Amino acid sequence: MKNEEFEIIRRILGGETQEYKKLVHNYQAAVYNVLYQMLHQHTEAEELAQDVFVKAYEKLATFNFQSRFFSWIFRIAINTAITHQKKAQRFLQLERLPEDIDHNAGNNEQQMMDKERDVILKKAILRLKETYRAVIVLHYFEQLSYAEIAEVLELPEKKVKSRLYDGRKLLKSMLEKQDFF
Amino acid sequence: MSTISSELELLVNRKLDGTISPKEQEVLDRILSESEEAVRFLRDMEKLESSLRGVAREEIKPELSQEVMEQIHIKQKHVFGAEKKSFKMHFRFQRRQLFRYAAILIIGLLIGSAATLMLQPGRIFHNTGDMSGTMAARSGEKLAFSHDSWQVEINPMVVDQMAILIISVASDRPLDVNLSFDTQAYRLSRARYLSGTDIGSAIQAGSISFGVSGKAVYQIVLNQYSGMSSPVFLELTQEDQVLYRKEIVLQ
Repeated sequence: MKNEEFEIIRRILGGETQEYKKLVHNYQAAVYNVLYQMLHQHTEAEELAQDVFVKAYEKLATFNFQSRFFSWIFRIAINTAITHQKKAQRFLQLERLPEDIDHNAGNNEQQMMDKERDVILKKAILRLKETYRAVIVLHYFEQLSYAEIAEVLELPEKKVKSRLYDGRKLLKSMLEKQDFF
Repeated sequence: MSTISSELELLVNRKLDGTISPKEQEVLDRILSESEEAVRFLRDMEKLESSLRGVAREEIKPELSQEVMEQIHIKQKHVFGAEKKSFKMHFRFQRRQLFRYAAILIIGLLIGSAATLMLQPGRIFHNTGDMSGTMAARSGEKLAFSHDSWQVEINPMVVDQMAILIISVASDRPLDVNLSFDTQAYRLSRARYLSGTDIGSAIQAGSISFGVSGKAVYQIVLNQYSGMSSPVFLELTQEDQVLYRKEIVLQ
């Protein structure tokens, strides 16, 4: 896969631009989902996913063939989400409700309670500082290993672990105040 | 006061990761046998871990490749200038661009209309005497409620099944504004603080409240479920005293 992707990238750099479609096709869902988990806004995630791929195409000549394409594109996605959120910070004073929460969903009491717990947890994740949120999203939602997260974020593995541990601690402290446990 | 040590935190985190060594497990077991608080800490962290792993993950697979390739193509055209394209491709770009311009124009018109309405005192519907009951809010018609020390204006825009409410509040003393709605009829799509002094806000299923001291402007977007009609409820409180309560029917 790695060599196959490197070959595609070489062909794109050699002028076969349509080959880029293959890379977009392979990673569009993953990139979209990372952005969505970081922002919890469908429209923004979709628009930013397009920006990420266009940006990656423009920077493709700087790809060093040392890391995998997935970690390179995930890094651009995370940085794009963080930059976007900083720009939009003025409009984020109010707590934002994750868009995918349907308060009418669930047929029985247990389902309603599970849904409510999901809402509380997702809202808490959204309140985390971006550096912690990125690690939580990559670890729990994208199921990346510590080594892969380290590759994406260009951090030592030890630092990834400490951010995850601190992120969990912050979440616990936020959730305690809401009788989550 | 919490007495959870950094050693316990590290051991619990390693246990959650499945990387705890047998020796570390022994130390953890010893700590757990000596402290109820440590047991509670482990139990809460395990619960959090399982909730994080079990949280409903929405997997959406958007089809972006066509759009991305078109954007790249457009950019390349700007860079290299005279690149030739087939008529079909060219037509598709033109059509997409046209849709984009149309969307921008519609959004511009909506914002412009809202701004115009905010600046038109002649169309303001004042309601200061009757402090309770029901009132109709017509799209594009400003509602204003005021008293000696506070003033609230609501600009409703109802488009299709979406209600956009721009709420401007001015108050000499801290004022709590609460907007509640039936979740069977409405879904909160967006709540944004646009300007002024926000002194605390909270969103719950079916209600949004914010505290204001001075001036603040908020934008609240509600999506209406198809076929459902229900009023929204506005309540103003100051120092736990309800000053104003109104049922508003959005039209």
